Amino acid sequence: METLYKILEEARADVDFRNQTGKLIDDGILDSFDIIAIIGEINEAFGIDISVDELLPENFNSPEAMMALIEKLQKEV
Amino acid sequence: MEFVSAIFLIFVSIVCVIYFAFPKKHRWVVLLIASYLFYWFNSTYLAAVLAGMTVVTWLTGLMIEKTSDKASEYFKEHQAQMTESERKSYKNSVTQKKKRILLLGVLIDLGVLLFFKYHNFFLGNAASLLGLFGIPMKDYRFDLLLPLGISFYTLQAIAYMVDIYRKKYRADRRFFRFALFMSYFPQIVQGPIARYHKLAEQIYQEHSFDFTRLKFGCQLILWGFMKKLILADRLGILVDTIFDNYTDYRGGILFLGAIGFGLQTYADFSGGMEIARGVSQIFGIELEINFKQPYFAKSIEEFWRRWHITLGTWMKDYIFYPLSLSKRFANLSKKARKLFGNYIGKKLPSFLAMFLVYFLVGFWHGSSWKYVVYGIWNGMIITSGILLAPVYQKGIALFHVKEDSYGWKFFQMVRTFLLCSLGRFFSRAGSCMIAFSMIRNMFLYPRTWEFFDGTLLTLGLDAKDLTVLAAMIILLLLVDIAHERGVKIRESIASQGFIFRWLIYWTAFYLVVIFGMYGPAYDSSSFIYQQF
Amino acid sequence: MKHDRMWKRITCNQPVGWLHNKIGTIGFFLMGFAIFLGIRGIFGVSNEYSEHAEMMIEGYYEEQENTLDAVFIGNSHIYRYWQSAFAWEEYGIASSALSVSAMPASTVKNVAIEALKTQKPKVLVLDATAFARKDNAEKKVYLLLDNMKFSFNYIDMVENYCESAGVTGMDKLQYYIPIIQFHSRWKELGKADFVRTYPSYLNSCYMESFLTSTIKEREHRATEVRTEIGTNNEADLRDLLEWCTEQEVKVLFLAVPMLRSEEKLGMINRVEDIVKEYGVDFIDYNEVELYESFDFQVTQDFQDTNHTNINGSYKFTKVFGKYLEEQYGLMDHRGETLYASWDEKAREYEELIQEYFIYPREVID
Repeated sequence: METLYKILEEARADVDFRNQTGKLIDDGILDSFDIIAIIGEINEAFGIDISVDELLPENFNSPEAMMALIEKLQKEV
Repeated sequence: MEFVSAIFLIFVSIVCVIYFAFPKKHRWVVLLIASYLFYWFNSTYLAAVLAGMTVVTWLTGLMIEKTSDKASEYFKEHQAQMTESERKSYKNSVTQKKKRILLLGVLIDLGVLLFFKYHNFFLGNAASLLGLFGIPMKDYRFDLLLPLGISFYTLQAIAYMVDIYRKKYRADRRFFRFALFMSYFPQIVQGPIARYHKLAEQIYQEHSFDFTRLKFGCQLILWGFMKKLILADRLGILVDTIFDNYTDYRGGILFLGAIGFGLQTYADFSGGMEIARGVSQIFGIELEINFKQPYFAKSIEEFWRRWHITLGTWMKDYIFYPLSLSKRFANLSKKARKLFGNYIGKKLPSFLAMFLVYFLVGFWHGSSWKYVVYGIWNGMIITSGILLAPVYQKGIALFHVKEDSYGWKFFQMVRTFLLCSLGRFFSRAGSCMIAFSMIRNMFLYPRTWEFFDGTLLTLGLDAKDLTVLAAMIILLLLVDIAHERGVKIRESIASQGFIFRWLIYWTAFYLVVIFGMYGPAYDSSSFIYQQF
Repeated sequence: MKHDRMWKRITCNQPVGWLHNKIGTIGFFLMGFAIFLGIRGIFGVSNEYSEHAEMMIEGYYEEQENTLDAVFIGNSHIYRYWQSAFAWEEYGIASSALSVSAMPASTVKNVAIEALKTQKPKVLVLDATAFARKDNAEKKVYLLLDNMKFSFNYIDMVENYCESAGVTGMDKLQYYIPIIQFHSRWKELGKADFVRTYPSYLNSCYMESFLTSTIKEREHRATEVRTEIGTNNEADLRDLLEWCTEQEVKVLFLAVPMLRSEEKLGMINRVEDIVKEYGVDFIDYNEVELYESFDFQVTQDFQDTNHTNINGSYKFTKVFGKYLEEQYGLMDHRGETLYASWDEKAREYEELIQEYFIYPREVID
């Protein structure tokens, strides 16, 4: 989880990911460029391959949702 | 058969009657037949191209899914007995096979589009290129009738095949229903570009007659007619005068032409969308909204999320994300970070993908370099906006700008509107070179006095026409403001007393009858009045 | 049974008030139609001819029902010749003309039908020159379209006109609904479009061109020659004659005296032949004896080779009025209470034309 927070904060230093309660995608806090950068980092850091189909708001609206997606993909081969 | 014509309305009325006379289960058949009839009226034999692409797309979808299903079955049976590496290699080979089928389908569909729409572009440019090297080439260009809506239904087909590959939904096994998805007549002319899971579901459902839906649909159609006949076509005269005689004009008037064209396209395109949505609504099928008050956008990026929305989302889902998330781009990003540092490096893959997207958006609009420039112009503004974001932030802090004040928001809207209008030179002028020369003349000779000395009245519209135009633009603005605030206009009118409602509807109708740009007065070939 | 099932399918999902919806829809469209009838008259062409046509047609509708003994249908060869005001003053004949400039041959029958809706005259005088031409006189049909009342007869008239003029398909729409052609006139609407500026004096003519003339001396030619008329015109004429034979009212075809070429007069003779085939009456004032009965002074009495002016029309009305009185037993209605307003109108007309009129005659007080 810490790794994830580090990645998020590096991408957007101005967003307080640990404490904020908004929906990152639906509320427009992160834009498409942020997503691309973050996903690139996540793929590398966790050894997974997030594809376009997983690009759903519900998977990225909060750090917890992102973590859930990461864990799910890690289980698959 | 143009949307905005009496005969189209008659066609829709007849289809409606037959549609609701049919038993609910088979109503989609009426739509299928009507759609192909409509297509035939417009493009006759080229209906075969649509039919052909429908077949190819449908088969491709089925084949991809079959491969996938077979593989899953096999995998389930033999998973236990396979080693880790065997599993991986099996999965790989299946993916490769699916990719090949998908690629074949996409190439065929895309090839058809490229052939019909861009053959002259390629031939012409190839000849010029060879000419540069001193190799003469005969002019092989030839004229081909463009099948109606091919730019739209090709994208729809590609989206379907890719979605099947991505296992977003199951392939359609019923060919004729799929054919209706591809040919559905309200949207075949100019979109919106539909996604299978949203449109097909509605097409396959049974729709009962709903009187309110019928009324709302008709009102939407009426509004579309108003925008097209009163605003767009009238503005078109002014725009045409300026662009067709661009050498006669300078400065502000040229810019007026560009702004005018932006408004004209907006009224024309969004009006057409409303007619399509209105017609479809009567059948019980809701089409996607393609415009969300684009001129209220505060940045060019936002503009493209409000203008021709379905094209934007198509590009996003099938070009932008796949590219920028791909392995190759990820590698590029790593290399870039080493060379240019973290800041740019991280954004590079998205920039490249973004650029490509806008290049394609431009290119999709028409087979000419000016459209490509149009696309790139938009792309450049967006990327530079992102690159310079920190600089802008510093400036905002320096000038103590209040970011959520009306003043700042208004400034952003105006700035976006002006930038956008500049781009319009490329989509309307005869060629790239002409557009450049117009922009040059605009800046070199501002001639602002021309807005006040009566020149405005010499552009093809007299004072009375200009007044009607201004009034309609104001009405459009008010409606858009209402929509931006979430007001549902049709519903709020419907909740008023019936005399008031009816007067509004009939006033709107007769405004079109009286002030619309139609009829023999505007068709010099068949005007009796002229003989006097 | 099958019909019931289908009906049930369409209405089964309707909320309880679907009858309410049906009535509402009908009411809605009635409102739209009412607005249409209201604005339709505003957008027609506006010029001297259209104002005169408006006067003629509306003036005719304004006449009290069944008060006219003679009704005239035709083009300028009627209204620049027969003045009902003169006929009233000389003979007490109650007449009116429903004639507009260049009335197309294909519309004469429908105009006659329209005229007979409100009147039961003793004689119906039809203009022969409307048919004595090669072309179809299409151009001024808008004069009728703008002013005739909307009815099934109107629709039939447009149909007949379109058939004769070769207008098909969607183009016909602009004749049924002239506003399609003329809505662009919204820019130049003036008082004349909303209000009738041409008062009616027993539908007598007082156009400026009628009150003056510039004709030079000319011989009158008579002829026995027959010249072919246009095939469409012949077809329309025969259609009209069929209708005439079915009517109770007596029909008389009138060819007014003109100073035209042999070819033109030859066409009139041809029309006469066709009319006589059906046993309908015909009188041709171009025949030598009949022409001489007027004692015309060309430079005084004619506006151009085609029409008399105010003075010539007086002579014509005097002669033709007598003919009608004798042949069709038209009564002298002067003094009758039903025609009380006629004296006034005739007098107003006299005052209007006084300065242009040459001939002395008694004016009844």
